Amino acid sequence: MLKSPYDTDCITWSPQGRLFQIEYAMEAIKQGSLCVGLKSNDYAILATLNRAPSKLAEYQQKLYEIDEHIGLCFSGLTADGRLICKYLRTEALNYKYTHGTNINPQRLVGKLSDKAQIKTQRHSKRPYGVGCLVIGLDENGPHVYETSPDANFYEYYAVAIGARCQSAKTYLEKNYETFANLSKDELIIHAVKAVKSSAQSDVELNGRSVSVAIVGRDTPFKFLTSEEVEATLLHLGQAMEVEV
Amino acid sequence: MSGAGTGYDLSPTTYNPEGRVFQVDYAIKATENGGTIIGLKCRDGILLAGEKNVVSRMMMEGSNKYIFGVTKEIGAVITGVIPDGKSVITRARQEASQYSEFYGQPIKPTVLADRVAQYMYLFTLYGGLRPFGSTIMLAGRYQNEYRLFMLDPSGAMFEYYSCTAGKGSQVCRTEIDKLRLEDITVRDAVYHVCRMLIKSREETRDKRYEIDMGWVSEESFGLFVPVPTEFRKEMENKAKEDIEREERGE
Repeated sequence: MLKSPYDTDCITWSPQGRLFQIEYAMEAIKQGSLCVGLKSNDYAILATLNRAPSKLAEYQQKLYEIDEHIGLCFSGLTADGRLICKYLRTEALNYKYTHGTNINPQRLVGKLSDKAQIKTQRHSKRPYGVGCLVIGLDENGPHVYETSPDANFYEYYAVAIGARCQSAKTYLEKNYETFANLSKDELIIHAVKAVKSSAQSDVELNGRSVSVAIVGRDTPFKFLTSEEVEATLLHLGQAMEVEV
Repeated sequence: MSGAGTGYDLSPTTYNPEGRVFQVDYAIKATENGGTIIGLKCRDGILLAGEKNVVSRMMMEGSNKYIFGVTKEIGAVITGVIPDGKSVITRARQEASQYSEFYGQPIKPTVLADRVAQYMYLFTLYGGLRPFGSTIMLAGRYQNEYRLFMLDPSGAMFEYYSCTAGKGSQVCRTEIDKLRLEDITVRDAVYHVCRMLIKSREETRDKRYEIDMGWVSEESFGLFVPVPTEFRKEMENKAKEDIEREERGE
């Protein structure tokens, strides 16, 4: 029994003027694990909570470099995410080859959204099943963008998507107004804290299950090593014990 | 009378026994759920304005724009499903660019509106596509004449002195009918439009929202540009205070 006769493809409008397939695609994001993005005046950071299919498996990577000034992470159908990553890398590289300079992150995100919109308006296609958080640097400073299957994109001071992202969002809403002038290390601590606040108690947080990446005015896009992430987690763990 | 949900409404290529195409009607319904947008042809130009809910405090101001420049002298505002509207604007820009390359002169607002409407209409003809869920207002100047058009998902295009669309369109319509548009400039209109947009948010007054505006007028030398931010914010605050004062009964 179908939930509704108007929800089997994304080219059918419901009587209330809604496109159910797109709304269902947005649900796919909630199945993916957490992604957090935040920025100060000088740096933007992405942090993700990774999953492993079993104890014998390696954690699945969700954080990717697009160019030396842009990176992304995604929540949802990871296969769609990897395809998006490949597309963005190609576009960024082509732009650099043609224009001799780095592509503007907002332009790149806009291109992705335009591509995503086409996939919501053809019978033979389906919307992307991922939400992406993109951090990038341009001459105005760092930026954090969120894209979603409905082909919208937004710019944020701080954002979280994925499973149980509400706790991370609550943490960020309490603190985001202080981010502007923080140092790199303080900002990283906030990102990891946001990830921690959404993690369930039985999830192991270590340098491989949590990934962090940063881009900034003086820092091309780079991943933090797993040792650096471990050190931050340890520092937070000790700080939490002290608070208790 | 065959109403909704009786099997004639699943595809744009199906008429119901009364001769309606329901999928197009549903697409128009989608535009009624969007943020309110207004187009006003005043004495010296045209003002395009809109308001939208802001979902999160952490979202940056001006994120996800819905007012666009199409050519130097023609601008647009969209409501409904914003990505659909953006896709139409991309097409409008391509049309304008090809026209000026081919004919050596800028495209007229009437011609552009007609072409964009035909493009939107195209998507109501095939089973493999769906109508755009967006209403578009185009405003432009051509040889000292200002023209304002509204295009809806069915591909219909009409020229207007003033038009509204979106959630608060009825409230704004009533307010606009009280104004004498031939007597006010776009600059004066900014205050009136702020009032209307704020008033049309009766039920959702406490939710966060953002107003955005663009104009093409004598004072912008016939170019479509954003309304200066400080001036708009000033008028917004003035409108808010005036409404609160009236509600207190002063």
